[in-house]
Amino acid sequence: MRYRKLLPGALISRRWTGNRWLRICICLSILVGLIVYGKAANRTVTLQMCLHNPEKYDGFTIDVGGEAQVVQVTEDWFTIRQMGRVVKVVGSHADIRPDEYVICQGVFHREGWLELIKVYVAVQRRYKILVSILPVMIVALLLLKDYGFDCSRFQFYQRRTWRT
Amino acid sequence: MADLMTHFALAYGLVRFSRFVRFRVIFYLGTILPDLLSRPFYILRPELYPYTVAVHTPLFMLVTCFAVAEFFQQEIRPQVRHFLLAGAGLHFLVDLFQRHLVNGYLWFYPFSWDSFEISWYWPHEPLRFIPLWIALICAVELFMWIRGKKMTAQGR
Repeated sequence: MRYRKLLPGALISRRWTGNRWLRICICLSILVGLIVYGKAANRTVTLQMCLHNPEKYDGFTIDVGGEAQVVQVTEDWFTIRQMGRVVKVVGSHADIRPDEYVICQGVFHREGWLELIKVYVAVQRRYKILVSILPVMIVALLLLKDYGFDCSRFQFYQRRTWRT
Repeated sequence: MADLMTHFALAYGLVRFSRFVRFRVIFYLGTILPDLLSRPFYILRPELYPYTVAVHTPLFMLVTCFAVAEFFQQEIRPQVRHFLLAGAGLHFLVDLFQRHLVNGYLWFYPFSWDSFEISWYWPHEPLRFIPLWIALICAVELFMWIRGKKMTAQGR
């Protein structure tokens, strides 16, 4: 494979015969490190942070993503619920309807409301989540069909033998 | 993200090539892995979002593919690694063409928090093609099944 040339040989070599559990531990440590760094170095100001400390974040432009659901819609404003808290968003968009999920950008005001800058309505989000379950089930079934699990070695093996 | 059915359908199209046949499941797994590891957490627990930022990134997936491959028998481990990586690569390639209102994907995380995307489609737009993908997959599978039966009959 061509990408072998791009990576340190020891990482990609077929003859990488070091202790398997050591390799797994190294990989998992890197993954944990990446996750922790993602949380620690992320400077994004969230809606929850603003609501927790409204004076501090007054006038901040924030992005509201992550499962913000429309609760009520009027001509000039709508309300969204995120993590159990309902927030008024001043501004409008033709596609916003109750129960739809939205991602929006707005200016936070200390009174606890948002001034809308732009919004994306995640149309049919529930449908999207539901249809995404189907391939997961197919892959799980195919994996169980093609591979068995050797509990003593804690690894999958191919059920069918292939001529190479 | 494009929905997983779209990712799966594109991977299904590729595994028609003979060299994919033996490890098709692994390739499928690689294709769905980035979303499988990140989305459920922040759909079910949105407050965990900051922890999932790293998960849907190429570097995280590279290391994940190495880790997952270690749970397969030694003889097939290199191939499992390659097909997982190829699947994850296809996933990111599809996502590269997606458009975001804010915060796109972090391709160079943790070295850079900048994002880049080609912005051809919104995340919900591939949904309209799902019936087509399902119909095509069913048609191909039916065709293969009929052909297999015919070949078996001729063999007898």
